[in-house]
Amino acid sequence: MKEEDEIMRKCGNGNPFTVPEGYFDHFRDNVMERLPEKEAQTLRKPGRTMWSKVKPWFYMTAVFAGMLLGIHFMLNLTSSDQPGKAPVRAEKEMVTDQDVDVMMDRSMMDDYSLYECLTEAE
Amino acid sequence: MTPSYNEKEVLILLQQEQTQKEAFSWIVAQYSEQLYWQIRRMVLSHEDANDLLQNTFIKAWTNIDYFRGEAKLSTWLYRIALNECLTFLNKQRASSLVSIDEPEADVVTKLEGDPYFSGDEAQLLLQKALLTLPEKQRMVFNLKYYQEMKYEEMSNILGTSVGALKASYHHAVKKIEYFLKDSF
Repeated sequence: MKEEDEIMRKCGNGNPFTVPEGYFDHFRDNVMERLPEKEAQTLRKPGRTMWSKVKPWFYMTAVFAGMLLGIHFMLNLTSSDQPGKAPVRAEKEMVTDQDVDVMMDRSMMDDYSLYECLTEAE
Repeated sequence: MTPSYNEKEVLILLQQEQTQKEAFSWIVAQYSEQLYWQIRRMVLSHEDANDLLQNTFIKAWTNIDYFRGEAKLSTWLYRIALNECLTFLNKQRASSLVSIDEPEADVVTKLEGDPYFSGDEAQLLLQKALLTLPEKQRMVFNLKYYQEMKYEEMSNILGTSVGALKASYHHAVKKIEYFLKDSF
């Protein structure tokens, strides 16, 4: 015995709703006519916006800044208990950020050229 | 004559631009009636049900490229349809000026005068009882009572656990029985 048997006995489960004659026969056509057109999936020519021109320089500057920061942190974090590497590290530690700034100014290199130098050096 | 497809074939046809509209037309023919009745039982009025059914298919068409077949077609369509219903009913409730004590009274009065309602006294009373239920609970009741939908399928459509649905249905039945007990 189902729990809804009592309701079923009193009210049944027939459909008390009706529709206008022919409603379902025409429904499909009515809906298909109303469907919006899909936007054509065309390949767009990549436009040269200001941002697309500036983007490579922006990313290179960000990479360069990130590398400088990374070097700075590594120099601070690494200890001097590796004797073989100590002289090199000592050399690096002697060069301060200020020195780097001065060197950059005097080199008269732009950011991109400097980036190229650093990546080639790697 | 409309060609007949199975769901697998339809999904393949939907992926191709040339056959997408034909496949969608088949979907509309296949599912419009069952979706209509589910919507109609929620909103009661034929005009409202017609609008919501059309909106359901338009929404489905607009999003057809995102349908990957992870769920059954029917599940996906039911989900859209029932969400349309709930949105509609919420808006209706917010904008209507019905009595706070018996909000279903106004709707039942409309139903009595509706040319597209042919139910007897008992069925009218049942509709009144159903209107006392929260909308989602009424939805669960309709799906189970009129459509005999399995709880697992209901769970996929409504995103509610089977256990919660069973409890919801059980409570709905108890409320309706209580409502009807003095009338019969």
